[in-house]
Amino acid sequence: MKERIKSEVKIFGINFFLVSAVFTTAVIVLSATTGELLDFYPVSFEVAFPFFAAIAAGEWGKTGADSNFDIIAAQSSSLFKWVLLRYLTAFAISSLAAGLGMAGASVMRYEMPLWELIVIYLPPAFFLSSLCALSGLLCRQEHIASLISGVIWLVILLTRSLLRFPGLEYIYLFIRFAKAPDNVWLWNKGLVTLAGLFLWGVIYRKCKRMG
Amino acid sequence: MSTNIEISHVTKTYKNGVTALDDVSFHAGSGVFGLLGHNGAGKTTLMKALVTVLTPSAGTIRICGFDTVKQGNEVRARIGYLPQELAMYPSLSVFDFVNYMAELKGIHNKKAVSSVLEQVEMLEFSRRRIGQLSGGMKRRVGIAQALVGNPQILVVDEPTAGLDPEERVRFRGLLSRYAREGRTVLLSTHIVEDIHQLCEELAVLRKGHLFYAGTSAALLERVKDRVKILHLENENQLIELQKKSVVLSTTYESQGLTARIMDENGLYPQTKPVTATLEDAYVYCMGGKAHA
Amino acid sequence: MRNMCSVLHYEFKMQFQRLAAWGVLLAAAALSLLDNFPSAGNLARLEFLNEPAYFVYRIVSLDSLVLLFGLMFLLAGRIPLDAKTGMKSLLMASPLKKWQYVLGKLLGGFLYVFSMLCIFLFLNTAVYFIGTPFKISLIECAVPVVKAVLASFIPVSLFVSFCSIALPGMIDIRFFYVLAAILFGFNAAYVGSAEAMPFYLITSGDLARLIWVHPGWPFVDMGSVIANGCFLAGSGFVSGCLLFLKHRFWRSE
Repeated sequence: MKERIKSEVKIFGINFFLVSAVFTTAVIVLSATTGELLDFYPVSFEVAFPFFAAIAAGEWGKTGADSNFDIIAAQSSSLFKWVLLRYLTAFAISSLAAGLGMAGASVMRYEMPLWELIVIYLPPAFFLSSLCALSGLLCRQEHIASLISGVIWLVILLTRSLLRFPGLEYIYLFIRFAKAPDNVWLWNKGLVTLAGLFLWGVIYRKCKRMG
Repeated sequence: MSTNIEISHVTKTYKNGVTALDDVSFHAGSGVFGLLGHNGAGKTTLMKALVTVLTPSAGTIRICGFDTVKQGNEVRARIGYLPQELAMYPSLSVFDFVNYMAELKGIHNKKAVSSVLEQVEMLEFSRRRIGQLSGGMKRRVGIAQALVGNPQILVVDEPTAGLDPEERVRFRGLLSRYAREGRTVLLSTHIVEDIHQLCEELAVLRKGHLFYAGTSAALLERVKDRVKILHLENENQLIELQKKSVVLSTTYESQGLTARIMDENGLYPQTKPVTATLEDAYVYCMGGKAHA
Repeated sequence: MRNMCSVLHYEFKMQFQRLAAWGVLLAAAALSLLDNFPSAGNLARLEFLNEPAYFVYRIVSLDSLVLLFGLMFLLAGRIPLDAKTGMKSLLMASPLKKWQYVLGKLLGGFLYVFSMLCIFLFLNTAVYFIGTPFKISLIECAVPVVKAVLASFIPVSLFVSFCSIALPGMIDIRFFYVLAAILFGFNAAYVGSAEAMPFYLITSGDLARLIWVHPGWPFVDMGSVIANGCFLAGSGFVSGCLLFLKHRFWRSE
């Protein structure tokens, strides 16, 4: 297991760590320099970092677009395990970067406890990156998985006004960013996590069929 | 015979310090000229330098009398190139892709495009998208784009790799037909059989050095009457044999094995020599053995 | 020049045939019509939706962002793909010059983005024109469309196409995606105000105010308009130049 993770990290290459480091540093610097107008924590950790996790899962943790996919699908004992482990490695590294970003930003300007930051980050990051993992498994073309998650991410960002419809606040991905009522957001995070788990159910079925 | 390709003391050292070519010199006239060598011997580097994509660190290459570094435009106007790995643009049709390459070569003539597609027997598939073609068909499109404009020099890197025997024969015919009328085809390959069928002259590269340049007949002469076949009972005998002679190839049989060897020192005078092949000569040049 | 035109022509053709881009366009069009179709509900929600200029303004400043984001993703792989597929070696072995290749790619991308934006706007405006419950003249629709095409689409297409094609030729494409996502995300999250908008916004900068202005604040800050235009065109131009100047990008000439 440890060896497999090491191999996945080597496959990702050094650029993944460099880009993660640059992005995290930029967020920490912004936390110190940005004014009060910007709702910094939700923007950074509910909107920006989850999409970074999705890019990590779709680009570095690519599966269907991997040139060795056919060999792996034909020969690995479990395709699902391979997909899951690759995803988890990419997701863990990007989440580690998010964690460092949260810690660094909290030192610069404390507005929220760390546990709350983790709770606002994890569900959308898990959902978007899982969506990317599913699209990556279904589309053999490179970058299409990131494109799909990217367009959905942007559409969700643009459609905050839809929250006027009752019930949508329970599933809207960036609920803290949209400033929904306080009593709803934890329910929302739970439902988003469930949606992410549902996507993994689809990935599992797809892998079973492919393998 | 005019010299179409002239390579003098070419050295190529990459930024990371790896020397891919070291003082390579040879020349090629008209006809099909073969370039043989192991993986990493420097064949692709040499080909890239020939087509002006890479600049040599030292030495000169002249194509039809033009220097590849100083007179790149003249050189590029005279060459057709098929790289080893070419995925092309899968969304374009066969005709569109070849026409695109023709336009970049300054040929704005759709009849010329149809003509090369006909030469490679792809005219009937000209509307088909490249992404929908088989491997052999893609190679034919690749060669078609290289042939468009009838270049004086055709540089083809591993054109038959991965093709079925029928496609390989078709390719050989195409290249040998093209090499007539004073044109030169520089063919890089691993497949000695292709060189044997097509080339009168060849060069062998080994770890960036030129190991041999000349006619294939002269290369065969080096091993003539020295190739012998020995029957061995077990692997231990083979190990012993390898210490004394160059083993060209071995074939495992139900009882024991047969070794094809180069009897340089006449250690086996009782064994009758067999007809040497170009593959024997090549394996001998590389100093190795090939197991079958 | 002719070689550059050939690269441009085929670049445009290849892009135009990509189904993924048409999928994004349809998704963006569906989204924009859900939001802006002159239905009774939308007319009650959006005060100025009965003005064609306002409709065009919304399409340009909000909904076209989704399309541009998708196009950015699709265009970004153009130059790395040529290197990966072996096409770059082949093109370098042809008489094609570096400037012809770079300019052909950039202008092909520009024309493609510009065409897709125009199709997107024309499609939406046509549906608005046909579906509107009140009477409007064709000229009322045409004027803001022409303004949008000239004032906004040209610099925006230049920015998106040039940056998307040129920057991944120099930096890791994934890093480019991250940078682009930050800018697009900021553009999507930024709430409009009566003040001058930040110059670095892509579609909702002050250039969009040349199409329509709020009757309550009918003034356009021309300095901010110029800054927005200069940022978009300038960033695109600089990205293109950087690629052109990149050492070891092409064979030595």
